[in-house]
Amino acid sequence: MNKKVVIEVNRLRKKFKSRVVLNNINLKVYQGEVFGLLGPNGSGKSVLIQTLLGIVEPDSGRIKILGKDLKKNSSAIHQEVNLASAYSNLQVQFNIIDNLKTFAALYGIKDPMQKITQLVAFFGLDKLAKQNSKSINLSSGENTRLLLCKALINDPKILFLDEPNASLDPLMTKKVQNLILKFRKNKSMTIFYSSHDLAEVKRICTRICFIKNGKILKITDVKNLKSFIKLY
Amino acid sequence: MNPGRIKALTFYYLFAFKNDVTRVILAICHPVFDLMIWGFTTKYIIGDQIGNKGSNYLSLVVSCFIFWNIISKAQQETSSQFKEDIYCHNLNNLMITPLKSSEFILALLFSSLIKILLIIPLLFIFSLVLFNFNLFKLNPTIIIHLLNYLIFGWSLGIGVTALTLRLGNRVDFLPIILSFLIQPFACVFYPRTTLNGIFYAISWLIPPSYGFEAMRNIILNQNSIISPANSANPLIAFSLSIFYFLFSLFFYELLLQNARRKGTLIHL
Repeated sequence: MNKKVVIEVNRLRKKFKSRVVLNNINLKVYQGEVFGLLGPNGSGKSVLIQTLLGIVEPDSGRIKILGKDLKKNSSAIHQEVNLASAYSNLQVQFNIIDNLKTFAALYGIKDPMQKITQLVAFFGLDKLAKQNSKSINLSSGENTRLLLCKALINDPKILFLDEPNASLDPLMTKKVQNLILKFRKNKSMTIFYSSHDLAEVKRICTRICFIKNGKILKITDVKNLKSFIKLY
Repeated sequence: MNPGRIKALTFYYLFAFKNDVTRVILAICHPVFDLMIWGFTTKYIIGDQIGNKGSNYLSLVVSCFIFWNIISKAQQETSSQFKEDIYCHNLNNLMITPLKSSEFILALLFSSLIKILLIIPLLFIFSLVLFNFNLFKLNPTIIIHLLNYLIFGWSLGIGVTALTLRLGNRVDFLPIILSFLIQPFACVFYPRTTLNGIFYAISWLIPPSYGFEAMRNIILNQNSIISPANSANPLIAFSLSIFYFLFSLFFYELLLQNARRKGTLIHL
């Protein structure tokens, strides 16, 4: 059975000044899979994610998300994707609910409070939400959970996770991983998961892409992982 | 364009402002206390002349100060809201929503307009109480130039936003000082003929200078604002304002694309 391609990248190249950060990247991600992006610090993982989201414009190459050209259809694509990144925060002057309500409105979610209540309860932020705590008063772990709530607010078809478990305690990390495994089982969402933690990626991903110095070394199924560990 | 997204982002900027007590205090107190300084200083200088001519000068200074605040608030509130998102590292979260550039800009403009509509009437109330300056006694055709002030202020604000996208925190100072850099050439408190050489020439390119010339015509010389004199011509001012506004939109798009190519958005 032909699997539907939801992310297609052809000959992607990106250079910042003299440094090549993405070097001839070619990959396909299929619907419903959890695609792991594994590499050391500075390998180009975050730049690749930001390029796939249109925050960075490549020097050359083509990106198609959900069958649409990213450059020409960014607003339509952004309606169907989302991102949780360890390197961002939400508006610090807002409380949890107001932050999520803002993003729900930007994604055009009807009846957002039901969705927000579910997400906040799942990620253990309900008590803080009731206290009207501003984001500035949240710990880094609580902020990470808030970002995960934001990332799921529009039930994205593709979810980009850029080291989402940074700052999370082991219990919450396992909860997030189990959620991803649930999505993987239902094939209800495609997840593009970036990490430098091999064990984590092995546990939750269906395929793993090894990236180093902006170049893809290998893309492999998790079951064939042992042969390629040396590359990493 | 999606009105729902524009509304959501407009309220987002307004609530962020409302929730930041420091910003609210600064936005209100700074112009109020500035008004008091300008007004009382002028009152002291005109001294015994506080008859007809003296009170005309006082009205002129107070009204010009308030109208200049429309320009500087339009610029500052447009550009400072954007900087808040950079400080929070929330800009990329907004950029990966379905928001289009046009919606983003409109939200910045609408939220700055709402803030101006809250702050400027407050200044008029203070000027009435402290200096007996009654806005409603002014020639109502002043409205023509108010629109120019707003559009020009927005042009500056969008320009600063564009530069911030491309250059990041290196232009941190610009939202605060840009209007001060323009002010000498806008001839807010003195006629254009006071300037000389290159400064005089530059003032003809600054749309608010036409409005302030018109204010002096009305208040000091009791002339109509619809003056055929080029120095106060509202059509020239309006054309310049529209030109700068359209240019600022083009500049914003250009620098946004440039920021994407250079990867500067990653760090914002």
